[in-house]
Amino acid sequence: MAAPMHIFMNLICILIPALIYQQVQDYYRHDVELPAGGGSAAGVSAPTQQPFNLKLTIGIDGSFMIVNAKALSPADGLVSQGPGLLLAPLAGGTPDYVHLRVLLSKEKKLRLGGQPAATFPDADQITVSAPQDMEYQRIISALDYLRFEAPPPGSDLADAKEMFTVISLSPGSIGG
Amino acid sequence: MPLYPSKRKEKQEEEMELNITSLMDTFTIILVFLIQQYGTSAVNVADGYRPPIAETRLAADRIVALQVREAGPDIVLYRIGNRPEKAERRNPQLGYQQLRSDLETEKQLVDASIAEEELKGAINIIGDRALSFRTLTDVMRSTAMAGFFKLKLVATP
Repeated sequence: MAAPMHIFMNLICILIPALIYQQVQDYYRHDVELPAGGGSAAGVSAPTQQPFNLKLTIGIDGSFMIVNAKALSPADGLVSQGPGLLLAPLAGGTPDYVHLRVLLSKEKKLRLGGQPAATFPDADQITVSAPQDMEYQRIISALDYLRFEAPPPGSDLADAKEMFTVISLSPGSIGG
Repeated sequence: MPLYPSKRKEKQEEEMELNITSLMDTFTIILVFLIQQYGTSAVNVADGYRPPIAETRLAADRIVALQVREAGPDIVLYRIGNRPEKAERRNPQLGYQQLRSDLETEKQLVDASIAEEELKGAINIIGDRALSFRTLTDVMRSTAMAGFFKLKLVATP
């Protein structure tokens, strides 16, 4: 009587954790806000500098338009166009997310000009806009590259430093 | 000469059985506890909703969820929490008013049940990956107007 009970309990003890592991699905999140929400003033005691008002527009053709960048120029592989700087897509129209992240990381670090980030009202903020008919998946894919810097070589994305933590989504087109 | 188990051995076997019973009880309690803690996902996605794929590693919170998908031009289907799915056509001037009204009702219930200050006014938005950006921002606007200002876009790895 005792032996079958042991086998049964062993099976239960192995099967239940295995079933739990299989049934639990991980979900991740991107925290966003609407532009009318008031920006990133949270945690900033007394900003003394003018806001950066950095904007990124996702183009339907895979391009990105960066507006109000202080530390970027055509020398960074961008094309000066209209109100901002255009990052062209890769061959086949694939958005160049990796280059975008490198550019925005540079912008975030260098634009402070030696001033403490707390003196700016929107040091961690970026406004993202896109054409109204753009698929949601494209927006999320772009947010992945705005929120975090590139992870250190050989490490997981979980080790990546945060870049723009306050992301506003705004319907609209390329412009300042 | 036949060999019979000694009384001492019989006693040892009885003790072993008793120990196993206690162990089983302990395991059962631990398993129930583990199932309660980790046996469900933070987010329950209903059939027909396909969240976008993301590389971010910020874990979703266990808060009220709004699931949204498009059923046609300017028509959305949505579910708040585990409530039945509803449909609404977009009003060109006002956006999604029924959604806003339902969220306002939900907000009152949520506020009474959430203790963590950080999660007050927070909502998971589980948008179908094929949703248009305009629908997403319209839904976000209705959500914010209902009092949910901390908008968390949920995605799968």
